[in-house]
Amino acid sequence: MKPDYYTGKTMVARYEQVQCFTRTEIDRRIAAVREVMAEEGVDLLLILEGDWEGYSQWLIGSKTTDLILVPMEGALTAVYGMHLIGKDEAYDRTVRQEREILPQPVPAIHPDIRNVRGFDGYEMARLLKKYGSFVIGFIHLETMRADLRDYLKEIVPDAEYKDITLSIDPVKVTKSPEEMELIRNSVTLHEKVAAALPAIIRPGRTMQQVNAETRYLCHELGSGGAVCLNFAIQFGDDDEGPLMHHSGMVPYPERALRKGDRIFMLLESNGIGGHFTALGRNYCLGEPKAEIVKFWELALKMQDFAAERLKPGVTVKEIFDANVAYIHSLGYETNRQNYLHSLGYVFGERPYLHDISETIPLRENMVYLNHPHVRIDRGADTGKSFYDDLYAIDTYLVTKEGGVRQNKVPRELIVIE
Amino acid sequence: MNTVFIDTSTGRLQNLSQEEIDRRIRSVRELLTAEGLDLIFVVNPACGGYRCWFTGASGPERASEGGILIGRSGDIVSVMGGGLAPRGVRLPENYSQGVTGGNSIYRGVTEIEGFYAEVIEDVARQEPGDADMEGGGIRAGIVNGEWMRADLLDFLREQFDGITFEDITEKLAAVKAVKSEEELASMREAARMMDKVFASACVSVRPQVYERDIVNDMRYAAYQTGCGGPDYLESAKLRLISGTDGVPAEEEEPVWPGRLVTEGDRVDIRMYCMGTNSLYGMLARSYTVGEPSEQTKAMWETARKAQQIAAAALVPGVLLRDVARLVNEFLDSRGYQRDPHTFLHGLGYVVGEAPLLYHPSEELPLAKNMVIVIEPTVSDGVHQPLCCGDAFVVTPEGGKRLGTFPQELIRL
Repeated sequence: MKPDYYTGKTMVARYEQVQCFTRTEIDRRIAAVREVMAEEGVDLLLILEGDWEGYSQWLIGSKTTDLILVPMEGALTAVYGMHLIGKDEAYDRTVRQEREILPQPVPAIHPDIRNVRGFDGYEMARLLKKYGSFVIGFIHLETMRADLRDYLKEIVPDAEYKDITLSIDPVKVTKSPEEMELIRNSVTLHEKVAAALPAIIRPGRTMQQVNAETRYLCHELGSGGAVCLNFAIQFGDDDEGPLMHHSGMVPYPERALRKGDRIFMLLESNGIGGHFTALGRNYCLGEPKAEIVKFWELALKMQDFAAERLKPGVTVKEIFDANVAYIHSLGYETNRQNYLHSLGYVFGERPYLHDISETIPLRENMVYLNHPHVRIDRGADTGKSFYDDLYAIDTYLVTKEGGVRQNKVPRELIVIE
Repeated sequence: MNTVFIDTSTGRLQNLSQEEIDRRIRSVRELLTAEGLDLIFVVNPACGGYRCWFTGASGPERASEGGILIGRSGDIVSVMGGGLAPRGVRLPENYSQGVTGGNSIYRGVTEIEGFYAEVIEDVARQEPGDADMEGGGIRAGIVNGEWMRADLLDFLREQFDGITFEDITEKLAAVKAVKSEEELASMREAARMMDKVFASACVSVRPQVYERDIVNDMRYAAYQTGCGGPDYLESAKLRLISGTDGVPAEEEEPVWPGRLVTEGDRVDIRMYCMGTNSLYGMLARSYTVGEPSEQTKAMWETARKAQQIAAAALVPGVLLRDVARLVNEFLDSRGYQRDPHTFLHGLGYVVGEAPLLYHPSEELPLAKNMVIVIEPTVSDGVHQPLCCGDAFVVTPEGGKRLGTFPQELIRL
């Protein structure tokens, strides 16, 4: 029997998360990035704000780096601390963390990744000169800080900047077999927590208690090192009107759960190895209202409609537009929300809806959340609110035959007696 | 009694009064006036905890986005997102991001999505005083200026002829560092939360559990007693190290599922938790599973004494580096290594608030009602180092501990 992929692997800060990176996988990722760089005609790539969309986590195993420099060959450089090193400045580039308060340790996941303190633009300029090129590629060019821009202008005044984020996004989002192992762990983790929720969600408890216990269970099972978005998105009694998207400040204490309530639980966290997936189901304390059953079945129809179209070559915009037409043809409405987005080391990877990336074609082995929303019609005088909707949240694999749901949790309203 | 709210996406309570928010805005306006500015612009408001300090609300945000704008009067403007809207332009609605928490419940705070030139101008031209009448462009005080995006800077220069910028980061940090009585009440509550969490560790720390089990239990205890947040690496920061007591420290890194605690171990725990009103509490203690070794007893006694020396020196007017010198001289005298860490620092909406040791803000003299963490590490270079850590409020009589957890080695 094959050992678990995390057997014998070290952990970030002793216990926060397992560093599941084989050398082969990191080599693959770096090679994939370099392939895009070559296609785009850039010899050097600077990754800015790499924690956004998970680039830093994906390439160097840490979200706390300030900048990553990827040359076409040789070692990657992960910069910690954005001191911009002056010409001929003697600057100690050893990463030292004793001046930080409980920092996450700098990982050492690959011999071709060097971790340094401070950014040396002059070192970068020497690389560009060696390549005979002055085209610098960027991830997240829009986030370039003013001081960095001035610094680069001084060192390489004739450089051309090219943002290639949208070219690398679909490559990063296409998962390798190793990544799929990590994703499957995350999926099974959520299956276990979803199975436990009927014991956790009980009349008399508050959502604060339920949310805290849900997060605890996820952490016990191996989630960690990143956000844990496990909480009730909606809760309340459908007879009392719209169950609002549960965010922001509400008066405390919240009322306790009681019979008749519906609780829409979101489980969006990572598994062992750090990959995110998500699952969302409604838990009903007693039989759900007939209207809710109706809208749930419509939500599943929309989800299936989208899933059938999660195929290579299709765009999420096409799926959204078609699904709007579909739900309208059934006589109902939807909400303009981002319900098709990939996940990786973070829960929002492009391409996704209502974004410049929404016209990038899907590829086989991308992994997507699929949760279209059906707007609930409660009648003429209810004062409909924008987020009064119903939906299921599931994780799908893009295949030639359409999206394949990755979890085995039944797509039903879960009744807790 | 203030109305109490719960932030449903984090689980944290919020009961700051409107008067407290008004006080903060007033204190910033005093700074604005004293510096002769038209506008204070806080860039990357998550850095330093400013989003929360000004609006009472916080949520995940990108370092490159968002800001807080404060003028001489009128509402302060809490900007989310990074869109730039010249005069007459309307930014499209952003449907790509999910609905999140973070709405302010206080008067005097207006939230908008994106940087609108008209809004910035409106804030900067508030009475009294008028940049146009006095000549010259807008005089903007900038906080966290190193985070200013290039395109945002260009936008400001294009939209506002003659705008000038003055870095007031350390000055605003100094204002925020001095806690009000209401803030101190919340920080005492945070300290009580830490006391409970560390008391719960007396159950969690036991033989045949993994380090990660103890960590999960302590975080869960924190989340049940007032802590909250989607990313516990921020809301419940924790460093735990276990090892056989009395022998040289182990070098190897544990592999999944981590190190198993056994009889004869010492477990050192440092933790910061974000509690009510998004203010942090802090503690650092050591637990032994069995009778502690003589080295550990000596090290602990030294850590406790080092902390007492620092606490006695926490009086208004003193600089942190002078307090640090006293501590390191003491450690030296006991034959231990000097502590190179930032073991003295402010605490508030972030774990490292001004003043911080080994940081430009260490030039900021201590003032009454600052809250300072004292967490010196005692190390002999051979055995596992340990730390006695607590949060103290600066008073003319010296630092007064906010919590009450016993300052002893905990023998289990």
